[in-house]
Order: sequence, then structure tokens, then C-alpha cells
Amino acid sequence: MNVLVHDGDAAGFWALIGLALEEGSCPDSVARTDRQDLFGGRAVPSARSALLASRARVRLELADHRAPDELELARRRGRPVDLACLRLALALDRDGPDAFDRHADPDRRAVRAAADAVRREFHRLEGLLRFKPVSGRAWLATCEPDNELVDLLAAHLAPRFGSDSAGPVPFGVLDLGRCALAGRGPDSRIFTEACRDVEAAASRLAARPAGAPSAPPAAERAPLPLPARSSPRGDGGASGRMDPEARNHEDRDPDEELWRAYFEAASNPVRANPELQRRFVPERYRRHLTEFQAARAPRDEMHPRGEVR
Amino acid sequence: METAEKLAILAASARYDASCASSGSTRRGALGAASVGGVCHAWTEDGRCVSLLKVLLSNRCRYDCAYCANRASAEVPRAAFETDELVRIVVSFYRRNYIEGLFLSSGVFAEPDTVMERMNEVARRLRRDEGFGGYIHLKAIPGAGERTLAEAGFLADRLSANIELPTARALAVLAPDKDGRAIVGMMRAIDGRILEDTDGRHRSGAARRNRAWAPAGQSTQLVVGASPDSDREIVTLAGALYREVRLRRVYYSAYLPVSADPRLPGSPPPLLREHRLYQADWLVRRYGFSTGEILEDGAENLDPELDPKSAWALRHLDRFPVELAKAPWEELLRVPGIGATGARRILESRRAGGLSVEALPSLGLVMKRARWFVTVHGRAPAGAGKDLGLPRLRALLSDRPATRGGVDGTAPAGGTRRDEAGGTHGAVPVPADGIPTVPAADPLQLELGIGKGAA
Repeated sequence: MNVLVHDGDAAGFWALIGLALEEGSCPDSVARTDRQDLFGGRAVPSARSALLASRARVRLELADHRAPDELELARRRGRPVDLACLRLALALDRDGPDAFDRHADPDRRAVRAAADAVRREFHRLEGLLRFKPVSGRAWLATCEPDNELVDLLAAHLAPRFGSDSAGPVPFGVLDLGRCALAGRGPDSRIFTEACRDVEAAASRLAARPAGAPSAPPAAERAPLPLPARSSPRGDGGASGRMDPEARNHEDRDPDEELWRAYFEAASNPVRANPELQRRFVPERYRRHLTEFQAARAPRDEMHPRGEVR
Repeated sequence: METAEKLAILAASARYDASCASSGSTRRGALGAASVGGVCHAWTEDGRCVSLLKVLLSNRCRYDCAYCANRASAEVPRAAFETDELVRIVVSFYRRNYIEGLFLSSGVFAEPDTVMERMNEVARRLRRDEGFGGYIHLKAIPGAGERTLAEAGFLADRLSANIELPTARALAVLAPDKDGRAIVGMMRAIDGRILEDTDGRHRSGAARRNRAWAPAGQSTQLVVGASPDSDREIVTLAGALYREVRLRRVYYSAYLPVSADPRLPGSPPPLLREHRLYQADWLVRRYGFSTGEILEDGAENLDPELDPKSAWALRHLDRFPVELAKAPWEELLRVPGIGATGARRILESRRAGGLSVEALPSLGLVMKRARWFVTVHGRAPAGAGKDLGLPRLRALLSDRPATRGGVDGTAPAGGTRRDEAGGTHGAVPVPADGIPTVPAADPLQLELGIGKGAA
């Protein structure tokens, strides 16, 4: 059985496509792991990996200019469709744009469905990330997306933070599920790297390059918000409740209180439609949303916003 | 008064304005940038998207419009923002990614020019002092001066002047302080400046999409169901606004009872009416339908049982089935269940040689509707192709929600809106000089070229 193995990141994925295009054949199966011995599959030789990856992109761009972006989005899908991507890449190489436009083809459908799911979640999270101040100048948002998105989100959000007197404002987007942090560091560089939790992310965003001014005075530092990763058996934040420690922090942030006041007032109770709200803001996202985090009036303590009533 | 209290009052006062779009601009600043497709940042419990911080600068108002929660005679708490206070909130909310920008309107608490200048001041502070590149939507107040409007257009991404009601007669009864011609005049002034800006850019070779003056164009809103005007009048007016002053959007807001004024209906219109108007609007804006095609054969109101495209298709069964292997784009868009994405995929599949009846469900069509109106290479989808008869087909296409009725949830799901409208307005003591229900040429509609030559 012909099994190809890659480690799941972009370089590995594109090198795999490059190898398939070079060999002109598709493996029987594709596995994502950094331990190929587990599967006994064949990995792309690391020495040729970069070359294969860049050749694959160019070859597919020439076959159909829409193809590289679509495959890259599909790669980011939480539930991989690597084999469909490989087969579609080979079809594109053979048939050109026709392969991309055969919407009923099962591989094309699988790739399209994966890319669409990634697009949808990206667009949703463009709006549903909530930044909090950490370590003085820096801002941090946490999320647990289904798909690999933090680098795309960081690129989209960079203009929002602008600059202050000390230079471009550092910020980060932390994927708690994948332990990945993307953003702009105090050295003004855009980065994506592994990061285990919020505290590590805050340290990374506060760490200054050699020769830069020292950390801001303690009075400028805001306390850290500390959402941890959702418990696999917990409600995933569906109830909108925060742990008491986090809520204490929430109570101390006047602008978060202002936002909640606005969110409450902007809704027209005569047109209440919580079903529609639930459709647009699925419960799994609410844990990280300021407007769903704090207790409201005592009456609502019994039915916090977001809980299924 | 504390900022939080002001914010709650002025946000609640602004929630009757339906517009919250942040699309259509490519502006960039030192702090932020507009997103051309717009971004929704939250959804409130009424299911509406929050994209912009939508507030009034002040809810004090000289006008006494019967349908308005902020009318002069309303006993509601009043508040007003200081410029610095509002600027600080916008910047903080923007950085935290709560919003895409600011939607700023106001009660008319002074001369229109003064009110608009105060709103400009907020936008000016954001743009010039904070380098704010996010989205700003400013309300244009009819009666404001040319210089004030000129500056507003440079500061804002979108401007809007609300038409409020579909006819001058309705305005005269329910909003006597407002002049329909002045509102249309403001829209024409905005449109003129947009055209001027576009032409100037065209001549200088600059990209049209980077227009500097109100780059996201203008929009308006009208209240549905506060006056007895029919859907025909509303749809016709909207069509004229798109044609005459090139509006980007018309927003429809179902009237919500805010007072016991005898000039107003006793109960709100069903939300379904608002929904059908949005569907009809979409057909006019995106799918090439004329307003005359939306309501034909003398019908005054949209069919509550059917979406307007299905209703049109049932009136024109002679044009179906459409052969998907041959039909042009415009014809595909007229098939119930086929939207722009489905039409594009049909054309792509045709080109790639992969179009078949079996492939249709994978193209993103709503087969529940489309199946009755299409063939591919002469073959109808499974289960279709039989002559079902109009009543059966109508029942199959009906999308009337089973439970939700009126705004207050009390209106029945069944029955026709025409009945509800008749019942509602029949109970309202219309004053001697009230709103005639069968209007002849209306001054507001004549202003927009509607009905000219018809009489």
C-alpha cells in the first residue's frame, strides 16, 4: 500500500502535492503525523521538500489561478481532506480549469466543502475575536477555531492596532486548541509560533528585543484574562459563564462593562429572536466573547445569556 | 450622567435604525482600515448583526414624528455625548474588535446644520486626531448646509438621509415637521457629489474604487406599516431611489408601536412583511427584476405565502422549465432556488462538460424549489416533470414560517397580510385630512419621477 506521510503544516502539504505531481500518481492514502514509523508510510525527502512545494504552487497556478488558494484553504480544514486535494491537484495538472469547474466531481466537492468551511469560519472570527490588554501595550485574543486560522486572522487584524509612541502596537491571536500564536511582536515583526497558553503568549508579546526600552511601569500593566482551553467534557463555555477569577477581572475592566451595556441596549426586546442569534453565534464561540461572559441582572443569574433555555 | 448610562440611552434610541452595514469602503488609516466586504462583530438577542457602534449623538429632538421613540413629546430619558467621550469609546471598542466603526445619527436638537456639524466634529476628531481608518456612517440631516455636507462626505464612508415614509401624504400626517422634497433634495445633493468625485477620479486616472467622498455611497430607511401605504408603493419608491439617486441600499424597518397616537395603527405589521420587502429588494438590486415585475396584475401587496421570485415564477409558468444547459445568466437568476452562486456553478459546469440532472444538488441549488422549474438536456430532476397543478405547486413552494407572526409575536401565522392591514387600519380613526389609502400622484413619489405620465 502506497502511503504518503507529512507533518500537517503548509510546507509538508505542498511538498506532498509536489511529489505526487512529479510522480504523476496518487498514493492510496495520506497520513498526517511527524512519526512516519507509526504508519510505515513514505515521507517527502526533507532535502527536496522546499523545491517540491514551490514547484507545486507554480504548476497549479499555471493550471488554474484559483487552484492554489483553494487547496491552501482546504489544507487548513480541521478534518483533513488531503487525499482529495492530491487527486484534484493531479486532475488540475492534467485537465486544467475543467477539473476545477467539475463541481459534481467527488474530490472537487470535498475540497470545495473544506475550503468553504474554512472561509466561513475565518469570516466569522474576523468579527468574533475579542482583544484584551495584556502586559501594558500588547493586546491578546483567544479562540478555539475548528480550523487552522490564526495566521490569517493576525494578518487581517494588524491594521486595527496601528502604532503608538513606542512603535507598532504588539498583538496576538492565540488558538488554545492548537497551541498556536500569531501576531505582531514588540519588535514589529509578524510571527506565527507554538505557544502553550495565555501566560506564555503575554510573555511573548511583552518580550522586547535587545536594546529596546524596558517593560512599562507596573501601573500600566493590566491583569491577565485567563481563559483556559475548553474542557472536553465541559460545556465549552456554552453557558457563557466564566470562572469567578476571570469574572473578577471582567468587573474591573470598565470598557468591557461599557460594551456589555451597549450590547444589551442595542437589542430590541420586541423583536427578540434568540434562535437567530444562536445560528449566527454558535455556542462554541461564546466562551471567548466579552458580551456573553459576565453576569447581568440578578434575575439573569439564573439564566445567563447563552444558556439554552 | 455616567458614560455607561448615556451609552445605554443613546444606543437604545438608535436601535430603530436598521442599517449597520460596514461594506463598500477600502479606506485605510494609521489606526485601522475598512473591510470592503464588511464584518459582523456580534449578534444581539434580536438576531441583528452589530457591525458598527450605532448611537445617537443626542436623542433630544425638535420634531414630533408620531412613529418615533425619540419624538419631542415622548417621555424618555434624554442624553447627549460629548465629542471626546464618544471618540474614546469608538477607539477603545475598535481596538478590542467589538466593532468595525461608527454609525452616528442624532435627534434634531438644534438647526440641522448645527446638528450635522456636531456629528462632523466627532468624525473629524476620529479621522484627524486618532488617524481612524475604520468605517464611519453619518446621518445627513435635511436642511444642513452645503459646506457641512461636503465635509461629512470626506469624513464618512457612507451617508444616509432617511426617507422615513413612502409618501408625502404619510409624512404630512405622521411627521409634519419633515419635508419629503427636502429629504430627496439631500439625497440628490449627495448623489451629485458622489458623481463629481467619481468623474474627477476617472479623469485623473485614479482607481474608482478608491473614491474619497462617501466611498460606500448612500442608503436610506423607511418605516413599514406605520402608514397604510401598500407594498406596491414601497417597492416602486425603492426602485426609483435606486434609479434616480443611485442608493446602495434601502432598509425597511417594521413599525413598532411606541405610542398610543390615534394616527398610528394599533398593532405592528407582521415581521414577514419586512422580510418579503427585503426579498423583493434583492431581486431588483441583484437579479435584474424590474419593480413592475415584482407586483403584477394590480396586486398591491406581496404574497405572504411565497417569496417574490417563486410568486413571479408561478405567474409566468409559460417561461418554464428553463433548460440549464443553454440558459443565459439572466435567465438562470430568475429560476426559484437558483442564486448567483448556483448560476455561476451551472455555467462553470457547462463549460467543463459536467452538467447533468444528477449533478444539480451538488451545485448549491435549493432543489426543493428549483426542481419544478428546470431541465438538463431535456431531463427533469427526479420527482419533477409532472403537471402538478398550480395549487399543489404553490403549496410546495410556500415558505411561510410556521410560528413567527407579528413583531409582538401575537399576530397569527395564517391569514393574509391584506386582511391584517385592513383590520389594523380600519380600526384607526384616520383624521379628516389623514392619509388617503388610494393615492393619486403623491408629491414625494412625483419628485422621484414615479407616476409621471401615468395619470
